[in-house]
Order: sequence, then C-alpha cells, then structure tokens
Amino acid sequence: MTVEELQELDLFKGLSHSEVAQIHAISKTARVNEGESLFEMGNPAHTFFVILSGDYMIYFSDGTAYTLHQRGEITGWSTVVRPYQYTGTAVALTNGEVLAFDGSELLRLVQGDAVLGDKIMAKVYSKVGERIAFAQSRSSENASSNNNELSMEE
Amino acid sequence: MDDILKLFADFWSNTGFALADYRYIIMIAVGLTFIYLGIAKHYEPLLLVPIGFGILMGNIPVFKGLGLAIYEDNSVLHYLYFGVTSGVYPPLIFLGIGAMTDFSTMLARPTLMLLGAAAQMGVFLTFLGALALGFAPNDAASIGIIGGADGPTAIFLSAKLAPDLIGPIAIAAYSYMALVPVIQPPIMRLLTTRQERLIHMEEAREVSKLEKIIFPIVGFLLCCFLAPAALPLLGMLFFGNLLKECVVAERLAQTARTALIDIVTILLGITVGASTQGDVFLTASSVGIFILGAGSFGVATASGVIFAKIINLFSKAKINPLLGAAGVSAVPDSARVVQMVGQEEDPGNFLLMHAMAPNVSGVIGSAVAAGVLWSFMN
Amino acid sequence: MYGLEAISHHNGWAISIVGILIVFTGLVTLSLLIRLFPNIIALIEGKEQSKTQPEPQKEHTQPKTQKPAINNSIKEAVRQYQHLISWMGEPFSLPRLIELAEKRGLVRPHSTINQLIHASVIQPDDKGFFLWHAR
Repeated sequence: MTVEELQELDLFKGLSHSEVAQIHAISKTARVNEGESLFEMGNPAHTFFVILSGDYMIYFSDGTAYTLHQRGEITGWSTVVRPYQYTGTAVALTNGEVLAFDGSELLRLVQGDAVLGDKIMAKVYSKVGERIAFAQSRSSENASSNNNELSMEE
Repeated sequence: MDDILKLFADFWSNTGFALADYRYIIMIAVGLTFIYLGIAKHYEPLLLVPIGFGILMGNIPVFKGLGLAIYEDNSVLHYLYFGVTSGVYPPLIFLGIGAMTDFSTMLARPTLMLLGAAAQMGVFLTFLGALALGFAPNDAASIGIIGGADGPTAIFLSAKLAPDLIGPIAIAAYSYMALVPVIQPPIMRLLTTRQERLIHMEEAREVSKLEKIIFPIVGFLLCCFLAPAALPLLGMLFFGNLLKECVVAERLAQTARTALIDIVTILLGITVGASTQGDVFLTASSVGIFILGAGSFGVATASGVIFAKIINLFSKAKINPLLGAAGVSAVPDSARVVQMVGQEEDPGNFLLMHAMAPNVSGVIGSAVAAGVLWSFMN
Repeated sequence: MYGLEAISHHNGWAISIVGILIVFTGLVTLSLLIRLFPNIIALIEGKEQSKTQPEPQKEHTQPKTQKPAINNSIKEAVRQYQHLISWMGEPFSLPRLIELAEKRGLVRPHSTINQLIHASVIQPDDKGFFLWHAR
C-alpha cells in the first residue's frame, strides 16, 4: 500500500503527506483468510488494524458481537484505549486484507510528534467512540459477572 | 587412570554446577522472571529482556581469575560495563530520548511543567528515608533518585556516588518503571474525586517550529547554569532534541533515536543485569533499596497529583489532577496510565497528549535533581 | 545511626529542602521563559502570527453496501440456517450461530453468514445480538 492510498482512508484524511508517510512507515499489510482470528479476547493488545477489504466480526464472551464491512474501519483499538488487552475476538468472515499497526511503534510515533499523535487519537476515538463504551461495558460486565442488559449506542 | 580422573575432577570443580550456591540460583530465577515478564507480558521488553538475560550471564558461577566475571578487570563484560560505571551510557540514552521526544505539549502549556517538578518530591523524600534507614549520604542520594523514575538518571548518579549499588538501584528503578501501570492507578484514584477525574483539558495552542528550536537551547542554558552537575544528562537531552527540531540534522536525529539508543540500551541492560551477581546483590541493603524504591514511586505519584489539586485552587482553568501522576518520568508509560485512569470515568477524555507535558518535564526535573544531589554530595 | 537522628546528622533536611527548591526554581523559571517565547518570536519576526485556516474537509462518501439480490445461494443459505435459528431462538448470538453451523458441518459458515448479513436477512438488534428477517 502506498502513502497516497493510505491518505485516502477516512482515518488519515486531513493529515499531510509527511504525516501519513510516518504512519505508513509503521504499518504492515496482512492478508487474512475466512475464519482466521485477527486477535483474541484477553490477550495483550499490541496491534491495531485498519480494514482494507473483507468482512469481520468482533465478538465478546457473553455472545454479543458486531460486524465491520467498510474499508477504513478500525479494530483492535484496545492497543491505545484501556484496558490495553483485547476485549473481544476478531474473526474474518471473508478473505480480506488489513493494515496492521504495532502498538508500541504507534506510541513511539505519538511520543515523537504531539500534533500528529493528537490527530490520530482524535480520529480513532471519533470512529470508535460508541464502540469503546460498548466493549468496555462488556469487559466490566464479564469481570463482575453482572447480568444486566446494556444498550449499545449506534 | 589417576591422571584422567584428576582431570575430570578438576574440570568438574570448575563447572558452574560445582561453584553454584543458592544465591546464584535465586538470581537466575529473578532473571528468568524478568525475561518472562518482558516477553510474555510485554512489560517494558526493551529493558527487561536485556536486563533479565544479563542477570543470567552474571550469575553463571565462574572460577575467579579467568577474566570471565563482570567484576574482573580483564573480562569482556567488564569492558562493556565501563560505560555504566563511567556514566557514559546514560547520557547517550538521553541523547536518543531527546531526539525522539516532542516537547510541544509542554511548550503549549508550561504550567504543566510544575507537575514534573512536584513529582521530584519522591526523590528527596526517598533520600530522607534512606538516611533514616542508615544508608550513607552518597548511597541515600543514589537510592533517592529512583523516585525520579528515570533509569538512565538513576544509573548515572549511582555510578558517580555509589558504584557498589548500581546493580540493585538499576534493577529497582527499571522494575518499578515496568510496574508503573500497577503502582500508580490506586494512588491516583485514592487522591482524586470522580469529578476531578472527569475534568477535560482545554485544547493546547499550536506551537511554532521556532519555539521548538529555541526551547532546547534556552532549556539547556538555564538548567545547566542552575545545576551544572546535570550537564552530561541535560546537555545530551537538549542536544538530541535540537537535532530533531532543527530538521537540518534529521539524519543525526534519526540515528540517535534508533540505532544509537538501541545499541546503548542493549549494552546497558545486559551489563547492569550481569552486575547483579548473587553474592553482591542479595544483601540486606538491596532489600532496603527495593522497599524504598516502591515507596519513592508512590510518593512521586502522590506529590504530582496533590500539586495539581493545589494549582486548581488558584487557577481558573482547571487541570485534571490525574496529570500530576505523569510527572513521574517513566516516559511514556505514566502518561498512558493517566489516559487509562481518565478513560475509566469518560472514554472520550483524551488525556494522553496533555499528560506528555508533565511526563517530559519530569525527565528534565529528575536530571536537575540528580545534578543537585551530585553537587551536594561532592 | 538511624531515624531522624541520622537525617539531622547528615544534614538531610537542608539538602532535601534546598534540593526541591532548586528543582522547582529551575522548572518555574523555564516555564516562565517558555511563556515569553511567542512574544519573543513575534518581536523577532516583527509581525503577528496569522492563524492558519483549516483545510476544507472533502466530503467522503462511504461505499454503499450493496444489498445483493436474493439469489439462489442466499435462498439456499436461508434454508440451511433457518433450522438453526429456530432452534436458537431470537435474538441470537452471531458467534454462537457460527459455532453451531461448524458443528453441523455447514460449508463455509463465516462467508455464508456474511452473505446473509449483506442481504439483510441477519440484522443487528443494537444490543449486540441479531435477528432473522427471512421471508
């Protein structure tokens, strides 16, 4: 994937070419096959993913789930959001391609450029804000064995 | 036949199996634990894996006099250890840190620097605690700097003031740095209310390129005029930052923050680890150092948080007091902890970038504190 | 010598107080100087810094998820999964559906279920579970 192609993704729109180039330097493209897991619940969150193609399901230990189908969607954002371990398991519903970012490299990038770090973090939260609350509620619910229903905000 | 048996006996008596005692076994277990924490749990792997393996290397029982052990003058490890004992490695690491750190969040909101200063209370209170426990002043100062939560600074000061304690001080400092996500959150929650944790920080102003270039020069001159003993550390820190910000020396900055810092980290980690030989490391004073080290991190965290609350009494623009915990200069882990605790209350509260300000000022503060202590002890 | 006596003997109180004062003085002075940076730069440059206009954000259109026409493969998938859904009840858990489909030996359950989602046969209920809308 080129820097220009990366710039077209919604997550990186508004960033300058040099900023996207920095991000490009820490990203890797990976192919996934149908049924393959991107990450598993409970594991330390070291990589976050941007979907390039394919369809994915993220599910939690209580059986709830949501699906991602759009190019540019993000998953594995527990790398940058508490509790810093994956709160769900991501499975590919179809063959596809993802862009993988190592969490520690991303943190290094954020440390080295506050403005870029701010932009990236704001974009991540704007894209996944509702899902953070949902996933964290699943995480705390499972931890406390609470059976109350929680609503997922769209 | 007797000669053969004698040779075997001599060989056996020189093996680690014959020379080992329980202290080496304990330290090997410690080394394995560090490696496990680094690889399996991803706790500061860039530090714990070299240190852990260094502990293994340093605790292979060897026959003294063959030039193998780290404390023997003509051994390879001893030559590599020179960078630690002479205080060469820490400034080189600071060069890399300066070359990779963006100070703009601190420049945009200079008030947050005071949180980094407040967290250095941990250094001086630990110094008092070490004196109270019977440590000599030089040793107490070296132990106190653990509260600065800065591994290179702790090693630098120990090398100057208490070379015999480099091993336990470094191990304590790096262990607690790796445990920052465990140590800090309970203290932060205890000292803040939910309302305080929900405070959103105002968006920081944009910092110009020229400011980012002027800052390392002004910062270096001011801090080193005030505390000349901090020159090796702060000089390299600000030099590295200038290389980064001036852009024209980007190649040098790139080397400093990648190859150079990685090489020095490897050598420092492995030799510090190797210096923790069982017979040297497992002493009552090491236990005291570990206890004081844990206390120092707690005190530093509490000092930063409390100071932020004090600032809020006088300031119209409120600071989220959690940012005080980021004054503990374990960069960027304590900033990340602030983000984590803040998000427990409000997932939309982005504190990470704001927390970087006290975090990086804590690096400067701990280096100044080290310089001050070194000059007092001399 | 231990305790407060040791601290006093080694001048610990004075060292600590003076030390922390020096650290504070240094960082306070630095922060005050930093506050002056914009003014100093403005003086050097001799002009007001102009505010930069944010770049107009181009509207991006999300690619529309095309609902595939209900074709034979969808009908076949509906037929295969209807029984499972009846057995599970609604709303149902999507990962559980996949698990059961695998156990029943249904071919490629992941992509099949994905097809059903795209065809709006399987739809989320906004609470993390899913509903069956086959007609």
